Amino acid sequence: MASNKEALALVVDIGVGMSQTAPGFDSPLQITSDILQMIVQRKMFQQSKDELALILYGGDETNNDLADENNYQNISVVFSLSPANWHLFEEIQKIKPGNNPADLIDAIVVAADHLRRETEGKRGYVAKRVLLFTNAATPFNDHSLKVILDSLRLQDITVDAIGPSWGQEEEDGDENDRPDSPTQTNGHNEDSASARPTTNGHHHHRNQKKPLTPQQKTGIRIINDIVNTTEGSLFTFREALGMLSIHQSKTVKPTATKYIMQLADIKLHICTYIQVKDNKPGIFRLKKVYARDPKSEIKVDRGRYTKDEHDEEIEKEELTDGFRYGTTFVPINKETLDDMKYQSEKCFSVIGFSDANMMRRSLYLGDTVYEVIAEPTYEEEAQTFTGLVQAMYDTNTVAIVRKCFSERSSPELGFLRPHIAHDHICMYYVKLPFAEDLREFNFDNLDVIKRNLPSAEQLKTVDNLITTMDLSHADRGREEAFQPELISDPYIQRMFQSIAQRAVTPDEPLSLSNTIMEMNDTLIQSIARKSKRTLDTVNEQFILRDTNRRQKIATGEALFGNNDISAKKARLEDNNEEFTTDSTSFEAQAAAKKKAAIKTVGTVTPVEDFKILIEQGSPSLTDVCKQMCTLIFDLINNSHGDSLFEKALQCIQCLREICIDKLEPKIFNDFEVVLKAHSSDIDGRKDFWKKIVDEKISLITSEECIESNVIPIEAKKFLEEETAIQALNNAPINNEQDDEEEDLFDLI
Amino acid sequence: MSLLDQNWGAGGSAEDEAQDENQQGRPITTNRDGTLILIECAPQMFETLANQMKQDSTIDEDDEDAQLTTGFQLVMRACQRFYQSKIISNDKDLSGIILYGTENSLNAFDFKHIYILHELAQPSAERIIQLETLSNKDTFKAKYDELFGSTQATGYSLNEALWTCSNLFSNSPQRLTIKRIFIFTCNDQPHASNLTLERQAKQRAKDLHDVGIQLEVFPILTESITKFDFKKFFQDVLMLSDEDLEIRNNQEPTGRLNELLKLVYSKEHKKRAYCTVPFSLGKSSDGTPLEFSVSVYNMVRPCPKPTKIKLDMKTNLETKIVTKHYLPETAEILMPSDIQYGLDVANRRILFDSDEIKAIKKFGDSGFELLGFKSLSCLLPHHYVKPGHFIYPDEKYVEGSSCLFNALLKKCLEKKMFILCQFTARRNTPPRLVALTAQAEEVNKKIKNDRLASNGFHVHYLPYADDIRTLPKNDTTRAANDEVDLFKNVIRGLKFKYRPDKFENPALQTLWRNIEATALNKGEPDEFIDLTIPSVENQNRKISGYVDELKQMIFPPGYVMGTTKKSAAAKRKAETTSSPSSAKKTKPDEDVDVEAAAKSNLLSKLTVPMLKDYCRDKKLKASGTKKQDFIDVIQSHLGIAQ
Repeated sequence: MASNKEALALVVDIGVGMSQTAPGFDSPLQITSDILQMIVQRKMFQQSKDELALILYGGDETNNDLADENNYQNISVVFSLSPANWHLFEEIQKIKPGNNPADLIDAIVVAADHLRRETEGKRGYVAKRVLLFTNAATPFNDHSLKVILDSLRLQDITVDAIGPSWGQEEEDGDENDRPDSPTQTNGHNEDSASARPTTNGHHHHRNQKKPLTPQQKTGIRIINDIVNTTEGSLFTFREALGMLSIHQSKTVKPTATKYIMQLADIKLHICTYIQVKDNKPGIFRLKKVYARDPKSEIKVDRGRYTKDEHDEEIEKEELTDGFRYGTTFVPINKETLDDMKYQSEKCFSVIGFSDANMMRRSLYLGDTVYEVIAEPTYEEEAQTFTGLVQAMYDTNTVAIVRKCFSERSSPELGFLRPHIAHDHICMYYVKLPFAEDLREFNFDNLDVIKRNLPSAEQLKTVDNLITTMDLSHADRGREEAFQPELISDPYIQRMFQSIAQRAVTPDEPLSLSNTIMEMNDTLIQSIARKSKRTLDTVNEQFILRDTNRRQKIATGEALFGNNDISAKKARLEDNNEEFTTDSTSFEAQAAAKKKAAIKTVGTVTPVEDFKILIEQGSPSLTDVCKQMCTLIFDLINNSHGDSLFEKALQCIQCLREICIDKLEPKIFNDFEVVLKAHSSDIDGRKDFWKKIVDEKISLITSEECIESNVIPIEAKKFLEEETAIQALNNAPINNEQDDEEEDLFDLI
Repeated sequence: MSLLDQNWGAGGSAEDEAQDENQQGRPITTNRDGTLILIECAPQMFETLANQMKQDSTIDEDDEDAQLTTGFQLVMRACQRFYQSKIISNDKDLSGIILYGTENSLNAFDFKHIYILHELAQPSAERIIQLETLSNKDTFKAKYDELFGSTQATGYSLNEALWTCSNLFSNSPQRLTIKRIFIFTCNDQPHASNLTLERQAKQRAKDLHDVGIQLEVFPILTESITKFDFKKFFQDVLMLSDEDLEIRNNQEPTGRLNELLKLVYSKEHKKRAYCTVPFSLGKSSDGTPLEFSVSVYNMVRPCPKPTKIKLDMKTNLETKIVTKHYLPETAEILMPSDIQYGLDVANRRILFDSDEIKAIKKFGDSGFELLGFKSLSCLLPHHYVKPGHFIYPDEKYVEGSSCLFNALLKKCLEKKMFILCQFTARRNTPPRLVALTAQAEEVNKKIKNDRLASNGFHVHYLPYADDIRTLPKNDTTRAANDEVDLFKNVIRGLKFKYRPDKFENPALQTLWRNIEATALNKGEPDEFIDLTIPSVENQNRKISGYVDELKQMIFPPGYVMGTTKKSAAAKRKAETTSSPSSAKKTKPDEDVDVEAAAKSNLLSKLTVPMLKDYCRDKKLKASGTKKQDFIDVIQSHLGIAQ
């Protein structure tokens, strides 16, 4: 199939006129460069087959096929016609202002000649275009204009021109974006300069409004002439930027899936097209590559192993399909499986019709809205189809349909809703649930509880809020704001932006923007202004009390998350060690993985977990010890009888050893004090404390560890004395530490 | 953490925890229910069943069930069905069976005459097959004698039996949200002669009640025992109020038993929030964020098919996958730190590490952010991208949420507006635009307490510009009025009231039944009637007149609809895919037609809504809302003997 590609010559004026501008404003050349980058990016991101050439005129260099000593000077083909790539992108970034005279007409001739040479004898070009970027400030010679125009027409080359202004009424455009005071601009300019190599982002172009020179006026007249003769168009910079500012992914060519719709004896050829479906651009598909050599893609091996401690690999031939029936494994071989499968033919059968009001939106299932139309080749059937759509439309009914894509797929249930617009007639198909897909949850009527009933005053406030934030006509043109048809997926925008940024400046961190809020800033600001007062009233009238439960969890999560990262790091280091000693052994890796997976002290093997965590050195010693303390309390508190006491004792002993070892006796001593205090006043823990006494697990003394300031006699006394209060007085306790322990108890 | 979480409180806590777990992004631990079935094996259990019980046991009109002559067989069958249904509905739930009054004993305490047949565990095919032999008329006696001894003992203690149950619950390795004991007995006063035993049993029942174990009694009536008086003993065991007692004693003893006997192929969904997130209205002037809290539920989601697993042929045991990343050249195994993510744009490989990929997807914290309100008419039919949610206020995180939520709900309903929000479901998922449409409570006017819809907001995902495709316009000429009128007749002829619970998923139901048949060595899977296949015959009967007119009006004589022109090969293909095979597929007795089903004695295979609809159509009044009630009234209407 011949591709419908376009040959496009980007002809750029880099002469003196293009770089002249007042301070604080972007020069026409800078804006041109941005537009060019956007064009090239879009072509690359859309994986377009269009071919581009870049021709500069007005610089020092001369490099073109037509040039001789006197003619076609200072015109340079820097990128020959070929599909857009990063090389072209970089060439555009490299563009420097020149200060040589060069002829606009000559440049067009070179471009036309280049297009002719490069496309001659090749197929698949549907159009040839010259895109001219100039502000027409450089003088040129228009003697041979007539001949050249004829030649362009003959070759079917269109010329479009893009410049700061074409001397028409569009000056008044949108004032909001325009800098009116230079002070405003200064700060911004820096900003946009640094953002320059990135992408379509959001830097505002400062395009200086300046009266046209006589030369420009002449130039514009001639350019107008050329554009009109070749049936091209004129664009201002503003228009071009507007058109290009949104990234677009490759457009998907609509493809029809054909069915035969059956309704009693009526059988009609129909086509279904995807109308709405979550767009996941194929270009975003990520490959796993080797970090040290990004060229090599990583392969993945998914081996089957026995699910026991032996971890034996099982060959493919030794595997069979099966299902779980309760705890029973039911092996089923492939043939039986195929027999068991529900058999269905491809179909699109109307089961019946139902009231359209019954089709609650909340029932919709699936991920696609299809458009259904009659296959046009069957005229009579198409006519029948149209009659059906009209009748459904008039009676406000929908058709319930059984649809099956192929013999191998499961049938689904869906419905057809008629859609008639002034120039379009079709039906929409959306999937519906089966009985099994419904979850019938019941929720109490909110009005049953008195305090859930809003007062008349409160209702009025909410009424006001709805009125002030009504988007139905909030757009600039009093149109509906936030129309889905006009809001770009922020993720797609951001991903493209990140790709562009990473491609051009691989070492810089990504700047992540493109939220819905940012992209619709003006609108959101204006709504916020309008609704501000009402929101204050809402705040006054409705009492919303945060129970702080979420905060607690959130911080806990943050803590957990942090641990996670540090543990991950530790794990990586850990694994790398393992790696060097025994790089291929799967068992070693599995062991390492097991070891690495421990992030917290668990209840199953607390002593082992604790030791591993201490060894890993992360989380910090204090954190791990804290975890251990919490766990010991858990064990004691949750022990039925003395069943968990043994484990708790082991943990305490282990904690003690580590604290001595790591010269942190305070942690243990503080813990034991708290333990004693709480053991003495709550039932059931007395016997645990007795065990501690029996086992003679005392405070860590100065003899055992030089960091301790507990002398052995004190330690002995601590164990023997009945009440904890005295001990508290005796024991050297730092208040801060104590607080921590208190928190610990709060947790429990 | 697991020890901390232990919460033996009321049933409500399970839901709360599920939400919290979601909140923290941790894997959700399943909520399991535990059911122990406690069966008395008094001699009366082996007497012929009382007539009223027998009659009811034939509801399934499964021939097999008619052969259940004794109470014991009936109970065994009920257990078997209970297991079978559990496997489909929630195979993580645990159940067990304990017999008391047996000659042999098997339990942890050496209690006499108490036999643990099945410990508390997930159901399995082996257990079901065993129960089958214990209910089958040819095998049950021998099997019973073999396992439990040939005589029945009377010197048992219900207290000990209940203690055994409670012990099984407390030794359960899994946390259980609901703990139930079903007692099957034919004896309404088991310890009539021994007051101590009776007192002990009542005390034990109270203790169980206090720790949240629910008790339920299923009386079995036989030839000699024709009445079961709850007042004698079980009122105290079940903690029935006098009112409840009244209801119990007047109830048909078989009602709940029949429910157990029914084999249900449907998955159970635990009411669990998908997430609980803040709903932000913006900020007030002093900067305080205006936030309330909502729980997000999934009301419609595709019911998952049983997942195919890979088994080791030698052992028939499960296997696991181990994923290894390696370099193709050197076969070197790589660690996560060695992996980067790349994509190719215009021949250049662009690299990100996994944290960056995450960061690109992260736009903000999870929750709803108010953008504004719109008229419902702005919501167009094709504005849909994926299944939505339902939100209901949550007071746990922000007190006062319900009031503000309720005010929004009332006003949106009144003004016919929807709320436009930006919704981030999880922290690392990009936001989407959602339309929140208000849902008022809808209650069935005829049946009280039958809530058709709960109040709250539906969450509908809206497409982005990128998701909406531009399709070619097709402007076909409009049909003439008389053609449209004919079609209106066609529509009228085939109009029915769509209900979402009307159609079962044929592929899923077939698979469930087939797995069951294979697991239990059944010859044929349970029959399933596919209601999604329309009966062309029936349709024709109703509308063929209009269709014929249409054909004459639009098509040239001899035109065959639905045949593909082009090549002969394509034509042949079209013929095979169209009518004849589908007609064959829809056997007459599989017809949606209720009457046909009634004649072939297949009414019980139809769904309740279908039967209900039929009754409504024919203005038949069923004596109750149970399936059997509908079947009865239809059968008598058609004059078919039961």
